[in-house]
Amino acid sequence: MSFDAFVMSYSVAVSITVFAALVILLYYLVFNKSLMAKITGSAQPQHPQLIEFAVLKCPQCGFEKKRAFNIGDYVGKIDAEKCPHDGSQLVISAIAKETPKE
Amino acid sequence: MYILAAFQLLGGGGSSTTEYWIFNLLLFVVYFGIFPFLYEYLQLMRFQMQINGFLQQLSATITNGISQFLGAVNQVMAKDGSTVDSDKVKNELRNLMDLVVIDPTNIETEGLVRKLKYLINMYSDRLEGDVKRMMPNLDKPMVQNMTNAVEVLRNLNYIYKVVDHYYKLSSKYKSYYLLYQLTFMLPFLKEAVNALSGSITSFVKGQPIGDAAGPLTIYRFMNSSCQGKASMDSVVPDTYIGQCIYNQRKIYLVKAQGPGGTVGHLDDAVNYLLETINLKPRLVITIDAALKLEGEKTGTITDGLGVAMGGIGAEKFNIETTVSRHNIPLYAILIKMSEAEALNTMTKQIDDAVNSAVDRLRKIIDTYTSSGDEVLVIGVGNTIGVAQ
Repeated sequence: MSFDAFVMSYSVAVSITVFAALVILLYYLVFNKSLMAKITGSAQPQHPQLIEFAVLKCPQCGFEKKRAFNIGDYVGKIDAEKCPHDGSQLVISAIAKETPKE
Repeated sequence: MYILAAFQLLGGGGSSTTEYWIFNLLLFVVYFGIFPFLYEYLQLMRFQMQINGFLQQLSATITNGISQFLGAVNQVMAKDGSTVDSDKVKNELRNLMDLVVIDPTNIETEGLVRKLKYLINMYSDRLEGDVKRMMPNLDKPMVQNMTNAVEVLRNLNYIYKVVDHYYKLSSKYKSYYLLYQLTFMLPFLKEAVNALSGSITSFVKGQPIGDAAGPLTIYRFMNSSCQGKASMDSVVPDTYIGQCIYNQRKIYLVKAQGPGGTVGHLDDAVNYLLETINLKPRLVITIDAALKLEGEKTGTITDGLGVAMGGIGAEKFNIETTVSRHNIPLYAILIKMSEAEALNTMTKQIDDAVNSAVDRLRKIIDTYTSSGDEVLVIGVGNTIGVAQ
């Protein structure tokens, strides 16, 4: 093969490869939204579903009960609910959030 | 390669030595004259896309935060049967978000900490006062919680403005290196924005955040281990000072006054106890949430020496000054968590860590003090959702 023919075939092969690579890249940029989000940095982090809860505790016997958090709850608040063992008013001892598996 | 192909198609593919040299020269020009600039230009475009995406996301976060704030205002007002002019509140909120605190001059350092503390107090009072004026029917804890939400929105707004400034400046002058620096900072900024954006919900709902671990440790210790609880009311604004007996030691407990979202004036409380009523504690122990490194586990309890306290440093300086004047050992208990965990509703992991911190506190008191000693324990942090 002459030098000219080699250079010609080499250039054509490289050109076709580069063109094909550009087409594939363009396809991903246009149709693959998650890839686009990664490149632009606008991907939203996935947060697991969390449950907010309050723990009610009896100050006398230590009985504990977990219930859903209500607006207005705070740690140290005397709740309307009473202890099933001694009738004392339960106090909120913790407010936190957890994933369902916890 | 296209240039080369074109060159050859136009008859440049001859075998003479001159043409061979022209071909090589052309390759040289393409590789060293065009590719480096093309690469830089493509990088510039990529960085611009990344920062633009970040700014759009941040803008949406701020808009969402404002909606959350207005939603909470309407909800609270609806309880009293009163209404609120949403546009007026929105305008006032925008004004508060643009509020600027001007740093005191540091060309003369004399009294700098005093001036900083004065500015911080003034800023808190102004913000709280304006929120109260916006919603006169709110009780104090709710005003404090809403003030915290406004403060978060103000921080987000500030980040947006600064990033936007550098983005526009670098785009204007096509400054590759300025954009490079801004892109390097993006992971840290994203961390901060994620932490702040999630905290608006927690503040509006009045839930304890991770930073409340210090005050919650004080609450749990006081209610589970102590006898003969008593408190010194209204000595220092927004600050709770309590005392109790634990294992024949007299324990003084200091924390911000809950359940509203405030950090209190802990340095004033320490100053009152040591200078005004001449308390002589054997130990001063501070308990605070501390930022963990990526490899560290959330909820790890670490012992420390010194004052565990974040923020601008004015209160820390005052406590260090007062305590060191009396030669009292300063011990610290640190509860490790990420920035996002510190500013968002407390996770169960941190709640469990608070129980471990109470155990560590008992151990430190038992080990390093004797019967009859006095101990001062300070729970550092925002006490939102935690009473005393």
